[in-house]
Amino acid sequence: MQGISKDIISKAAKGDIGAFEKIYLQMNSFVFNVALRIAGNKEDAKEIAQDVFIKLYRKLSGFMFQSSFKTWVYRITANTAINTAKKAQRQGKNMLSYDDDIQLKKQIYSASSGAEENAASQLLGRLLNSLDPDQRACVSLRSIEGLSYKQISEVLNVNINTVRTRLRRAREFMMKHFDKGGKRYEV
Amino acid sequence: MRCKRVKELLLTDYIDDEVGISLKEEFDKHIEYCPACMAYKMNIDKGLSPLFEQAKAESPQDEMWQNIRPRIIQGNQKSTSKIFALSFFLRKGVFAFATAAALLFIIISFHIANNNQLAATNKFLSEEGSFLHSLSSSNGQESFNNADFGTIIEEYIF
Repeated sequence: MQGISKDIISKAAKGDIGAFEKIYLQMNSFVFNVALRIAGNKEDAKEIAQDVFIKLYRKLSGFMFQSSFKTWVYRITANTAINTAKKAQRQGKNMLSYDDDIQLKKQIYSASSGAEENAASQLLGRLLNSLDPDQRACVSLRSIEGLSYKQISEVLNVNINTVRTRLRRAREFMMKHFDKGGKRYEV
Repeated sequence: MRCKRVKELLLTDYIDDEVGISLKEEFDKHIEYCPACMAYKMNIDKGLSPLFEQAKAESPQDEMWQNIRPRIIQGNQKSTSKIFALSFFLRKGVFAFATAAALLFIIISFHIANNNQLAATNKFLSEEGSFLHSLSSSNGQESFNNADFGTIIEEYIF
């Protein structure tokens, strides 16, 4: 991300596809991963990431360099992903199955370290999918992308206390869900 | 500090390193003497937090750019044709405007000319009217005397 200069952004804004490809190469990984965490599946994440880059290309000429370029990209990505996730939620997709979740936890407890990592990753995906898309975006931006509360509030265009509330509710829910059937970490 | 507040902080500011120094001291003091909050903290530290730490970044497929690039180029072509269409309509608009202006000019000119002709006709009729009126309002002698016969002979005879 640090490699993207103002010059490259300006060139891409004028329609230089080569310059835009440089931006793509720098950002495709994080755009895809944010989309994946919020959307909950690779198919949707791929579609979202493609839409994000096309939106970026079209909107680049309107980028005024007043905010960080990365924050701007996060904003477009998060909003596109949240809208897709809400649409999927209305259609009843990506809902967490409790039985599947218990099964996954059993795999974590019994598997070897490499397999455990995969199972943990799957469990995280399932836990995230059980959240409201707005909460999912907050958790992903904070716990995976490492953005500060202030940055998250800028990206999602909400109050900093709204970020806190969403994070608290999301983690409360995840803790409750994680504790049910799990014996490994009980004190 | 109450347990409820400690749990709130545990789920937000504390684990996200957003808590201030004085609040952290207060929090630590509570945790030290509260087994329930300590257990809750342990659950988070050993249960939820590692899940996020283990979360691996996925690599997007290489084909993604191959899908994006043609869509961008197609978009560029569409926008170019849109600009062309817009300029065409703009030119068409200018032409239409010029035609409308010319028509308006012709109509106004015609109207003004018509008005002038009408005014001339009105003036003629008014003059004729006043002449006829003067003839009818005076007696024959006066009228005769007032009449202009033109030549000396005509004036002598009549």
